[in-house]
Amino acid sequence: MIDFHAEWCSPCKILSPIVEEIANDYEGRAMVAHADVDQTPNLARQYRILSIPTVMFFKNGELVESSIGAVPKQNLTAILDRLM
Amino acid sequence: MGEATGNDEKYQLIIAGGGPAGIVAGIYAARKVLRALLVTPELGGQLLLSSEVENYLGYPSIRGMELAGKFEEHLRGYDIEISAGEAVQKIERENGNFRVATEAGKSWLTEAVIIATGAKWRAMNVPGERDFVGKGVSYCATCDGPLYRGRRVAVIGGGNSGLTAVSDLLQIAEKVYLIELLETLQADPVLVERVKTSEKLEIMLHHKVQAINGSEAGVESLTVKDLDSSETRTVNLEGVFVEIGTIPNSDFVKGLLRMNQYGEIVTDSRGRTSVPGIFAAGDVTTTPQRQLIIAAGQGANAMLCAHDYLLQQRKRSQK
Repeated sequence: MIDFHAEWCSPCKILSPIVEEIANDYEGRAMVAHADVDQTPNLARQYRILSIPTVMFFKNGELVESSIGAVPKQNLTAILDRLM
Repeated sequence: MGEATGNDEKYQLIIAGGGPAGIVAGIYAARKVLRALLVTPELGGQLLLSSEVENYLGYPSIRGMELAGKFEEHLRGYDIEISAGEAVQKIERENGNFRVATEAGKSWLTEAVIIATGAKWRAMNVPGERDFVGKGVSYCATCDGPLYRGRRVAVIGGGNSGLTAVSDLLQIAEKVYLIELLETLQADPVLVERVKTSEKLEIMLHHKVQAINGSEAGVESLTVKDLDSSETRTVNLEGVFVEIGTIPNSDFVKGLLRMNQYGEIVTDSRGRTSVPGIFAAGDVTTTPQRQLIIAAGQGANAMLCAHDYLLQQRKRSQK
């Protein structure tokens, strides 16, 4: 699960701690990462990130689902649980 | 200052919403030493989505996010309980008090409520709009604008938020179209003056967006109709920023409080709603102007009037 965010985006700041909580909750079961779109422009371009925060879910290396905006924690964990 | 988790202790006041109106209400409540709780998904409200704020007293020009940070710091300097992370989902009467609950099931009892849940962006409801959210359609130019470096974009709506978006996007995008349904721009002239001479900007007045078109990869064009000539035109672009105003976050009190046809909560000059003990302030109310400074002022007004209400209730119960 990758959280695409940026320094200048306030909804991202709302989502970041939620993503970190999920990283703790799912330790050992899912890989959770932040990607700053300014630091990883190629990755952001590859996945056509046009709105942040965007959280993308990958399974076996393939993009399977994404979620846009500062959504409640349960929205993201519901996707993770479904994919596991 | 504690983080509230939900219990059966009764509050004197619960403030629903943590935008400017709710934050000011919280500060005033703390100064009156009320047993108060502020319940909000986040602190800052629409300010978090604003780029530059130039019409709030004391700050000639400040980023919305920075001002929101200052508001939060000001609030947290007081002894007030805050439950952040979730919005209020339900308010019900319970034995002369109110039961306030969130989606995840936290609930509290209170003598009075201030609803300051604000408003969220309004959609155009044209074909393609929903399909391309996050793939070229955005409701937050401040958040997503920088991702459109060197691209062609349109801003829909010629009000203050639209013109602010245009001003920001002109620094980033290759070309900016500003599309306004009415025959004139509604924004403050000072904002219009700042951008209108830019060669990168094309203003289309009295034009209606009919559809947003694209493919799997995202937005590719916009279909607009010239309402003077009735001709339609396709504009090739990759980003559409919708800035056509807001709708009130009032669904959770539908049926409980009197509202107008737009779902705005009807309030009087004291911030009172149709239910005694429930007050409202800011963009969720029928107030005609959506301004930070007005919402903040209304938050103070509603809280002081709620305080009067609590004093009267106390006197009545002592008789």
